[in-house]
Amino acid sequence: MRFRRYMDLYIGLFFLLFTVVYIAQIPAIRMTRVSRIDSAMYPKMIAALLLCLSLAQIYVALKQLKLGGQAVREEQTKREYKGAARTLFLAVAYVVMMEDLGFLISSPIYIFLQILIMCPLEKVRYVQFGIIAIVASGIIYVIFRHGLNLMLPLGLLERLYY
Amino acid sequence: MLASLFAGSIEVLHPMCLFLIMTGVAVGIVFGSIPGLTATMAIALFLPVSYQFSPLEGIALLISLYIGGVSGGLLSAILLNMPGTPSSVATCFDGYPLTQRGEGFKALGVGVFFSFMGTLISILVMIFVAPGLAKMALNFGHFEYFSIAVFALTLIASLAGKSLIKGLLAGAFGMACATVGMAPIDGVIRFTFGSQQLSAGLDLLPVLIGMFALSEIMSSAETSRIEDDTSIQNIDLKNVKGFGFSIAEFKSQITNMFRSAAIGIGIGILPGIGGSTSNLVAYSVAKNQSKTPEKFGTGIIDGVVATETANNATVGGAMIPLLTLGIPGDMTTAMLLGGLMIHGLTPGPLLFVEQPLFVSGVFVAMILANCAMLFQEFFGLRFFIRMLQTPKHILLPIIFVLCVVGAFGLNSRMFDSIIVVAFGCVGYLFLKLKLPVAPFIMGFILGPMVEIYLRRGLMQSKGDYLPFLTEPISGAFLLITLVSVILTVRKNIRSAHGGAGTQ
Amino acid sequence: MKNNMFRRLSFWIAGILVAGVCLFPAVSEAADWPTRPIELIVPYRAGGDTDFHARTYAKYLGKVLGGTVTIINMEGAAGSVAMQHLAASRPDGYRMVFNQDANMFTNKIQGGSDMDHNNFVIAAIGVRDDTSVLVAGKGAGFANAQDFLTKARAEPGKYSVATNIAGFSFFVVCKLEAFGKFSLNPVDYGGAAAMIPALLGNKVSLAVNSYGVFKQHIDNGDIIPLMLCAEKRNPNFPNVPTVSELGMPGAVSSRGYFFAFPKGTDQAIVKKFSDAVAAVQKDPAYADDIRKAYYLAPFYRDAATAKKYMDDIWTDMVKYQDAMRKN
Repeated sequence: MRFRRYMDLYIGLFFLLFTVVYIAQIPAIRMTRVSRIDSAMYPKMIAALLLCLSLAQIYVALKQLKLGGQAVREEQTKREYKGAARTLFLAVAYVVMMEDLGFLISSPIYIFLQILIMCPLEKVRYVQFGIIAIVASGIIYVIFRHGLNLMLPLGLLERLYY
Repeated sequence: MLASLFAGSIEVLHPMCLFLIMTGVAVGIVFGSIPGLTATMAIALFLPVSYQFSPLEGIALLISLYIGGVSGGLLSAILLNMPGTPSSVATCFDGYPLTQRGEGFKALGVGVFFSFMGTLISILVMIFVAPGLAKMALNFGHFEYFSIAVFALTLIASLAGKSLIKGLLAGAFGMACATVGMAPIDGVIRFTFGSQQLSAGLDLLPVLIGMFALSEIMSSAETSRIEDDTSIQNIDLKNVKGFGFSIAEFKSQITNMFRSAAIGIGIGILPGIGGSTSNLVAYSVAKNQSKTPEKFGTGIIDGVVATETANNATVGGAMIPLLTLGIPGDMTTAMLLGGLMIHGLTPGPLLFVEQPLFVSGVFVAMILANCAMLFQEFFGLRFFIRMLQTPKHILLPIIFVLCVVGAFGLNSRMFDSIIVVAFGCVGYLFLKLKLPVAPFIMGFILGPMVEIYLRRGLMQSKGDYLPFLTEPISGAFLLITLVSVILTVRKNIRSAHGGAGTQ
Repeated sequence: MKNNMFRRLSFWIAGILVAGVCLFPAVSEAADWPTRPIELIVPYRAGGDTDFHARTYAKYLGKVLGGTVTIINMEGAAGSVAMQHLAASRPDGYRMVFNQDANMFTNKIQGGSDMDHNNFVIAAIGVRDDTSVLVAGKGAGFANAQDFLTKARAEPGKYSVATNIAGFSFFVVCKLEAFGKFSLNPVDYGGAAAMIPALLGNKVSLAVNSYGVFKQHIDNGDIIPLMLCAEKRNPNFPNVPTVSELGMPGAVSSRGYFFAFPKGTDQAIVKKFSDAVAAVQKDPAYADDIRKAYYLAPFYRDAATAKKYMDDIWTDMVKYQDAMRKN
């Protein structure tokens, strides 16, 4: 509830923060005179734009809050934010591990766990999910690596494979 | 002209060629419909396969992949709210709401049919008007591209939705993200925080996959455990026939169709502008020109018609400079160019003269591929919908794996997958903060164009800013931009006053 | 109890087996190489000239080596991403990069990367592009090379030349200016795809690139080749005078495309590959392919001489460092 009221303000602050970080990186850009304007000019323009806009957004948000804020519509569906967080965490782990573990090991694990994250409790069937995970990964792997020569990482299996 | 087309048909109407076209379109549609896999990737992966055939057969295969791939994006855009390819981003905006209302079949029917029309119109233009248009495209240089890019950027305003400031913020944020990596022209490193991987910049595809696909999955994960119905959507398959829309509805879309096709062809012909923008630009223009702009985004077929006609029209448009000048109109045609060269053919003005049969063969192959696409998608519609009624919790994880494969396949780097995850976060944030994603994507794609052409234009004019205004085409676009900005600001101030009045 | 012990024992055995397989290095005799597909990485998108040459080689190398050569496109940061990737790869002979020397050196000069050929084992130079030409659009009004030289020297900075600032083309422009004693206004265009419409549409007067990309339009008469940056005239287009004839022998420029392995690759494998490249070049079908596409003739430098070849190019490029960086 409270988040929703301050949402516009948070947006303004988020972009302000981003702009500050962005501006901080501009001095690191090396200047050249090869083209008439150097490579720092355009980032500066964008930074100026972002600065104005984020300040404007904060101003408008504060004004709205002073006026008592807009009527807040309650969301009908219940949302389980943990689900989103877990999904993100698993996606990160998957992507980071893939190079080392290889596609054929990390993908079934990912699919299996992600299905569990998203599946309603009464519909959970471990064996079915496990089979789906392995078969889907296998099919994808065969089509892409052997059919189309897209070199998906082998990871641990590299030793065994060759 | 018709005689040569007839001769070309004879070349193409061999069983092997026809088989390649049918398979190519089917595979293209599959690649296009899966977020992360694109028509460009399909062509790249099938290039080696195409060498085994004769030049015409090989090119027919690649072109079929192209046509199928561009069109296939609408499937996941409409049914899953994830664009299958960058050319279908805007199809999500109205396609998915239609599905949410139970009118998914209509959305799909509209998308498929107008994809066909878009390609058809552009092919006809290509066959009959190509040389003349190509000559016109030669008048576009750095100044003109800059002005077009600026104009297209201001269209962001019309996609911003209720809050103009938030839309502009999203757009500027997109522009800023696109500056990460090597600067254009001098190759100076920007905003990489010392990371070698980031020096390659952020590619559109991983960013897109993250913003749309992963964020959508994360959002689904919030509710998929709780909701009773776990299938994607309930689509009413019983009461629909044909393509799901009526003749009256078709008549209402004719202007939209031709206008969007023109935009698609125009963007395709101009080599300096990539094909991924045509759907967004066509959507914005359709919204601006519509009598009911507020309905866009709630689920009206105008939105789907505009995007799908435009993105398919870009195919024919991009082939024009390829065949007439030997210059690729976008990234995908650049690969077709490579494919042609490996076959020993150099496209260009002399190809028409030296190999007229081949060129006519290509035209006929494109027409056949277009028909094959219509045919396959029409009969496949019910099948696609049924397939997507697999429970969300099983379908989405598999799609994500495919997304990662797609991101990896782009440049064979795992880092691109990390970009997917990073922008998944960003996309999710956008969802929660109710920030519009379309302006972000437009800023991301068009921002670099503005910079490149501004700098190159200044090199050409030796530092003089005047030519941007005085060159006729460039000046015209800048004028339109100014007018458009003034109108938009006026509209916003009016609605703000109106809003304040009711409080 | 017995069951438990049996299970534990089998776990241990399995564990040792897996560990053993993992720990024993993959043995690959140079004599057997290649026993599996070789990854040939192209640091650019599919469809360009580097990609074309790589794919052409892949076609013929497969036959000579008796295995498959798979092309992988790894675009990014003007080639430095792929070079970095190669440097971090295992030197088992199954991964290599095919790149142009000019781009790698330009990267180093511009500061994008600090790698050069000494970070790798160069197996061979497989292609040499000595067809860099200075061309003019039909509407630019230059009758021939001499006409151009007179006009350009008379008015420094007047004529615009389409080039690729971060690439080989600009290096050639700098050399031409230095030895021709004229100065042009460089305008960045990225690649041939943008240069050609600009020339045809009279947006720019001149351009520098390889002859092959302009071929169709030169035959058409829309683009006029002024001078070729080579010592001798090219038999494929003998009407184009060379910079040597015009009194600018220092402007001769060429770029080489090389095959690189990671440092530490077995010398026997390197030699085997190098010999395979030489064998491919003897195939008349290969010579035909590259001549038809880009008017090039086969060119070979083996591992030993490749290093010297690249050193020479680097020394030459470094001289123009300031002109190219313009800091």
